[in-house]
Amino acid sequence: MNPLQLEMAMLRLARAKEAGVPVSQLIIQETKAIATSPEGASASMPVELLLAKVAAGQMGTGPAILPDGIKAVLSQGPIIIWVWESPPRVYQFDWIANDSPKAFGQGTKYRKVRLALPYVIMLAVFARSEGGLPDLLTRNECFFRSAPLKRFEDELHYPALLNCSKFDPPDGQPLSWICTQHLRSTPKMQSREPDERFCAGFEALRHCLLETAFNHSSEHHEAASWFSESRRADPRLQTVEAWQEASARDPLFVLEVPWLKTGHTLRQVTDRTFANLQAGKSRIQSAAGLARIIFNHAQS
Amino acid sequence: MNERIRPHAERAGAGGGAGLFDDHQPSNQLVSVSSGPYLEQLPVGNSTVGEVRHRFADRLDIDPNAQAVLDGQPVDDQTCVRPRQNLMFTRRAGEKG
Repeated sequence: MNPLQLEMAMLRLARAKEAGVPVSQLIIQETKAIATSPEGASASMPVELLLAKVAAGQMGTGPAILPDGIKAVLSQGPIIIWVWESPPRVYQFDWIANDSPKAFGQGTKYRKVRLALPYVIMLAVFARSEGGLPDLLTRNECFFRSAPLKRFEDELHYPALLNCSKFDPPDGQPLSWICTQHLRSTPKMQSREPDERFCAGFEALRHCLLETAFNHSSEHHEAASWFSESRRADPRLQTVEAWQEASARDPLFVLEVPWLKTGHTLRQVTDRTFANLQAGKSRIQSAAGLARIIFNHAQS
Repeated sequence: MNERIRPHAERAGAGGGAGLFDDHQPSNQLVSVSSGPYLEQLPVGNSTVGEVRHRFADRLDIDPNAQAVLDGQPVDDQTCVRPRQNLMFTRRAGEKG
């Protein structure tokens, strides 16, 4: 409702009151919304539930035309998660050489490897600022699956990739963190247009995951990488050379590998991210929360 | 008049395209082409990498310096792409960690 419409509605309400015509009333008191009908009947419900019902059924992609492979978009409070899936294929990666003098950083030696990967699931996590513009956060995760995502209850598996980090203990941390220390912000990630920021942030993350070199940084900075942890899962993953040979023999062998189970479904992983980022705290639950929006709007 | 159902054999494939097993049809020439966030099945089988790069440079935002990788193998622009292969244009740069 724009200011003119609001003014007209207020005017109609005032005239109706003056004329003694009964009107519906809505009062928001703390966490309760109380409605009174023109006949005097009254009912109440929690503000949070009322807002959820008002917003229910609205389904959209927000401001963005989604890139290929985005399977779902989830949001809670200011946090938005894009769930991306890439089908099984053979990739060429820059992978740390066995005789590299350094484990990561300057002086690290790389060689090219051809590795078949199963379905790759990437969770790109964004946060909207007060002004509403989204920023890619540094809490993004990667997983593997042997089949495409069909339901939120599908389980995710750990990705046997270097630089996808395991934390120990995992509490409050991503389960399979994509190391983005060297992810550089691009001009479009600073755009004034939300859609450009979403798409540029997503592309920067995808590039970082699949097109920058893999090294042993996670083994030094976090508990381990999920490549190191997965080597015992299957003899064909024991070394990157074995993985490469198996990929050359049959690129689809990756659909039969018993990838390490996370024990979490997609829904549980995204809920975990929302909880870790305290996304729920920003949910509007009371009159004070609604009032904050109105005051912020008046000041903007 | 009663409705008459056309037999299966007379129906066109999904979307009205060619049948999956029809020879010399575009659907049989499909190549999986990806660049950045784009991933498309395109009827470019038997084209060269250079032809694909030129034709789809704008549509798929293919960086002029992107390395072409065919089924995981780096290739030059003269390489012929066979149907059902995976062609990726990648901008390999930087490292993690």
